[in-house]
Amino acid sequence: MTALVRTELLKLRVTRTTWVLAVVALALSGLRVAMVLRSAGTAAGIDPGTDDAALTLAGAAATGTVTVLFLGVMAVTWELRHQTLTGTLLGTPDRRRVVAAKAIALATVGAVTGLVLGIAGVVVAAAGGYAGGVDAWSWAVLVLGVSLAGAFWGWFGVAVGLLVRHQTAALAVPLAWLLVVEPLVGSFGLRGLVPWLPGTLPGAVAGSSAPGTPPAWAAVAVLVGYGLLLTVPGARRLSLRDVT
Amino acid sequence: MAAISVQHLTKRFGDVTAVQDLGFEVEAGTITGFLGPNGAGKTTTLRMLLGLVHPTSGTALVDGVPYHRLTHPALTVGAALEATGFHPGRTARDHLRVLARPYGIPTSRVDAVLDEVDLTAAARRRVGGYSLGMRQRLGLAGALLGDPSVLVLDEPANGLDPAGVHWLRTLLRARADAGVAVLVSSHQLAELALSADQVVIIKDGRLVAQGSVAELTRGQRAGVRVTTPQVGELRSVLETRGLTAEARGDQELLVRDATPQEVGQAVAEAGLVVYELAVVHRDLEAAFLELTEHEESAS
Repeated sequence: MTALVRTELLKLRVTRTTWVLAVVALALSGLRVAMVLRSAGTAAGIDPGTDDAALTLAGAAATGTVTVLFLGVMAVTWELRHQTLTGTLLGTPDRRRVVAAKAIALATVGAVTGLVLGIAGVVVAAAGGYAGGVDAWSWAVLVLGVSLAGAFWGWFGVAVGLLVRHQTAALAVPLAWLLVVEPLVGSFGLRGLVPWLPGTLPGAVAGSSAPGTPPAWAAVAVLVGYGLLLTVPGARRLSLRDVT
Repeated sequence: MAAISVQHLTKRFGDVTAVQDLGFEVEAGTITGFLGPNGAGKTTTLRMLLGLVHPTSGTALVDGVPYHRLTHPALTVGAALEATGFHPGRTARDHLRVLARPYGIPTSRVDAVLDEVDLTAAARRRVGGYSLGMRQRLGLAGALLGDPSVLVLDEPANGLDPAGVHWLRTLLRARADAGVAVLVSSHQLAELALSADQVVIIKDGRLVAQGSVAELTRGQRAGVRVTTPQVGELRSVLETRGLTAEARGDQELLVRDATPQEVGQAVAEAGLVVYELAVVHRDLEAAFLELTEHEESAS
């Protein structure tokens, strides 16, 4: 399985889309950080020097982690679109192992992305004098949480790619879910449900302080459930499918 | 045990029967041409052999086991299925590195097969800019990567220029001589007739003919072509000797199932004028067309 995961990581490395998405991730994080910094001192913004300001800033820096979701979608759908799936399956006929390797590889990429962006956020917060009294332990928990959330984004991306398959649709579905469906659920009086939705839950792992946020352990448990629920049918369908 | 063994293989896609009760074998050290018109079921058969398409019934085995049971499938079977299985944004070298990685095949081997298919100069270019011929070569490089004992190639000559086809024939023959079992599909026949040891011809998913090229092209339908100004006379002379001749244009007869000796004797004894007398070999293409047309009129 290690060789298969490494193969999936190699595929990502030698594909330009990966690096385009890495730039997008940096841009997203940079944008959010800039917005937080601009709001500093205003009524709605952060109050520099407080713990809350520091953690908000670091959280903003982790925003780009969500791009790993789209990388995960691409990692599956380009195999179908460019028929590289044929070559993949000739080397590894057990399709469930291919799916597992992809999920693990993308979770790894997500974890690393979260780690890098999380640490960058901490560095920005500390260097800008926003650190306040936040101790090292809280920083570590924050960075690890962001990293774990990234791992879930990567895994979910693979699952969505397997379920939707058509590349454009597979990119549009999670985008619409995150930007339209989940916000709508909140405004339809189901506010209590929102913290448990798959697009919001990773935030709980990453140290979100939004009202109603479940504890991290519960969030992880439910996220694993979502991951399996999304991956198993897609993997099963791929196993039964004729690859023509 | 045959390197490739296909038995009673059937595949239905909904109402459409793509392959029906197909059976053939490929021995190590031989080249088998897998022939049939477009849509005959060649690609479906090869994909069943490689575990990509699930058969409705029957078996397709490599070294006696289904593809997915092979311990190291890509080290046993090298397959090149179509020229489209490449990510256009990856370089040829990276494409092969991806295929090599699960097996721990070193990058030096990747460079070696790129050299073997004459793509070294283009190895670091994106595949998206490749010509069809270059993609075919890259596909072949992927098939050769694991130094397999079985090669399965789907229409590998498509997009190759005549020199490329010649090169491919030479390469396949060298592999077969080294003990590799080669199964190569094609809808173009001439390019294969020169290299295949045996051919399997299918039409509408069913086996039409199987045998050596010599067996399929020899046979009863070969004959003697005679060019003569006395077509009518020659014909009646031949008929008295129990030979049937059919007219081919004003001055030409084709004498079926006859030897040139028989025809020459008849001509001399009747004192007829003959401009040309030649043995007609039925080539693979003629055999193929006859076989597949016959099948069509019967169905």
